[in-house]
Amino acid sequence: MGIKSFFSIIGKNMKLLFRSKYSTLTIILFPLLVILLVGFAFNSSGINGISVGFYSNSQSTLSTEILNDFNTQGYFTEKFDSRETCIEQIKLSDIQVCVLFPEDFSDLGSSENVEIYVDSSRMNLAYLILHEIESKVEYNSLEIGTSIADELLVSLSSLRNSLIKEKEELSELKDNSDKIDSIVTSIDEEPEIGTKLTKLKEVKNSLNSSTETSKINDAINLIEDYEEYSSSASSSFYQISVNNDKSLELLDTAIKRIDELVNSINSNKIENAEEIISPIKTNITSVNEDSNNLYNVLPTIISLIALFGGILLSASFILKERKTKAYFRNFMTPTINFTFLLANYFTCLFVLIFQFLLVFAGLYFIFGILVPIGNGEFFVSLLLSLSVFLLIGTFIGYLFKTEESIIFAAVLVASLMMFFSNTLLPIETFSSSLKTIAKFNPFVISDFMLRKLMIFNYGYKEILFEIYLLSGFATLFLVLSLLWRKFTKKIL
Amino acid sequence: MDDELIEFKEVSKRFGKNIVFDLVSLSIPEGKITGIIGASGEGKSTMLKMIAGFYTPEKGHIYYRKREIKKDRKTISKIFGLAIEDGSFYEKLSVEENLFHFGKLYSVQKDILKKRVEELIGLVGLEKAKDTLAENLSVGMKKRLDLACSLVHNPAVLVLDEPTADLDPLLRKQMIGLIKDINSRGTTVILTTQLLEEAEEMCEKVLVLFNEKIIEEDNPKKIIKKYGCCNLDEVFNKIFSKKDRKTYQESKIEKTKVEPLKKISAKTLAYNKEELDELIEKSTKKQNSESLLEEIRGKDGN
Repeated sequence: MGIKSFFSIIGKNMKLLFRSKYSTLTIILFPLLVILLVGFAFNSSGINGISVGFYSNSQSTLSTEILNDFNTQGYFTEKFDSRETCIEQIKLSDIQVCVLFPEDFSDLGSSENVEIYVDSSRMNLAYLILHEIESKVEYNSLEIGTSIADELLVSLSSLRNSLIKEKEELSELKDNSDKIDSIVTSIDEEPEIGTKLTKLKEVKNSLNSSTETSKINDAINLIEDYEEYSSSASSSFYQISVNNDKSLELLDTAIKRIDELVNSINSNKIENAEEIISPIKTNITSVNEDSNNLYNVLPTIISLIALFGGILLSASFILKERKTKAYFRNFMTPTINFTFLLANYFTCLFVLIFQFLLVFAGLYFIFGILVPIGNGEFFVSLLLSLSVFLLIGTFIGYLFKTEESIIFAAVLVASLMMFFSNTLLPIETFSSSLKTIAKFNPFVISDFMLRKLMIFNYGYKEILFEIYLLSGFATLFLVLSLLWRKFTKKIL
Repeated sequence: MDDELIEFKEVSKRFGKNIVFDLVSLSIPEGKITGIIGASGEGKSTMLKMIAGFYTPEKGHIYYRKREIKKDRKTISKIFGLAIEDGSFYEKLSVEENLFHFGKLYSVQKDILKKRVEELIGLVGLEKAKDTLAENLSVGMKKRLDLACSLVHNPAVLVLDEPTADLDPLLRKQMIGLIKDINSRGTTVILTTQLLEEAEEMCEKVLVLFNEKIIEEDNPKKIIKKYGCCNLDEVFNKIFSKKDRKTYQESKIEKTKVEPLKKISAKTLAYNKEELDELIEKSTKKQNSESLLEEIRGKDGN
């Protein structure tokens, strides 16, 4: 390869490029325009400007609260007179979501579900809105549940306290019964009473043999009365003792049950109402350090600029070269095809790097986002991605004959690569066979590689596979371009 | 022949189904001006491109000093300078930039190239326009620039495809003078032309291409004498008589039904282009635009 020829071609290319006012303006303004548009579009976190339509037959405090919550969070809310109108407005894109509150929707819940309608044809937005709206409605429903559960917990706590108090009172009652029982037992078992009764019987017997009849009779009568009374008292004490024993048994059972209830209440460790409403807590945490939308979409934006810029620039560059009168003379010189190809590739590469530098400067000075251009891994990855797209464009430039077919093919190839990537829809939504193909889409590989580097701060080790794949693509298209360049000579 | 520089031995060339030459053999002498004449579409340009090594033959061999061209293309490419009819240079580069660029592609050393570019600009008379972008040059100047681009690497053989086409008589005369001048400096010149008087004036050898073959290969005077004519124009008419033309056209139609139509339209276009260029030339001679418009209207009316 002639170094002089190589640099002469690059110099000539640059002159040709910058001598055309429109080319120069496009080269400088295109990246600035892209970054301004993309920057202002994505420089936020979350979603903005969503219009929420709602229909509620009987407006409740809860539905008003939910709607107020939407308003405070930047959503636009609009009330509709019927559910049909509300749903129809989604189809007309006047609103993005329609929330239908059931008739009996209140703090005490409702018999029917809250219905949320979205336009599924706008898949990305539908998923995003559904998640946001659902989480907001769920948040409010959680609040209601929490307050109900709070009340329940308070009631349970007061019940436990009452039971403990009841248990204390029952224990006291049991103590008293125990005392009665012991008194009865002590009376019944008192030896003095028996002895004294025996003595009285002896006195009675002695009185029977006595002569002082009237007095003796009185005494005997008294003794007999006492005997009768003693017998009746003894039987009553027995009855008291039996009944008291039964009461004690019942008290024991009641205290045992209260103990069990208190233990059961105590064994429930839940003291927080939210734990009852949502016993398993989930916490979604993004693995991305930066939640700014612009930074998160930046790898895709960079890959997109590389894709369209690379393919279109190199294809139109080759087209321009082929259309120039000098194309014929180039074949007459001893300079080899590879030198021309390489010089054209480097010209386009320099232009794209210049455009990227403008984009990165714009990002830094306008949005304060520093792209790790100094990072070796990032630079190599960007260079590799650019090379693949430039060589694909070069191949297209040589493959087709007419101006229209070259531009059409370049736009078509770039668009197809964009469609079969995560840009419009996640590739996970594709059929399995298409998903496998999409994974080898150079745009997907480039996006994935830059994402790893920029968002997750990975190194060479983690992007090695992507580097190999892109290097393979670059080599393939270099060889194909070289072959087709030779072929274009035949059709001159 | 001792002074044979280039030799064709039973060379055949075809594009798809269209046969351009069939088993053509010829020789081109060194240090002279050789002309290839023939009707439009006979393959004169293809023959020049084959001489310069741009196309390779399907059959047969082409030799430069007994070396087969296709086997040593890189070296051969430095020996030939080819200027095609439409010109081959960058419109957005100046005269000087074009010459320097192509000089570098031919790996001419920097100091030699600088000297060579100065010389060439002087030779083709573009001193005043050396910094002018090629797109802003007149038709004649573009022809001269193209010629200079073909000479930048100091080739031993200069191959020119219709070097005087689209030029007015004055510019044509200048161009013929220039070609003779280049030849007088030792460069072998091979050219094609539609203007037979030009071939007669310039060429020491003429090759007549007809119906895929070289039918005459000699000094123009000898050819004229052979046919008992006064000039090449008469010879050409004799060869290409109405009867022959009919046979020729029928044979071409047999080969391809599209080709004759293409040629007619290309010829018509070339004719119109010639007229238009003439008008542009007039406009550069500061004819006012109104009279020019009148002239165009007049032509349209006719």
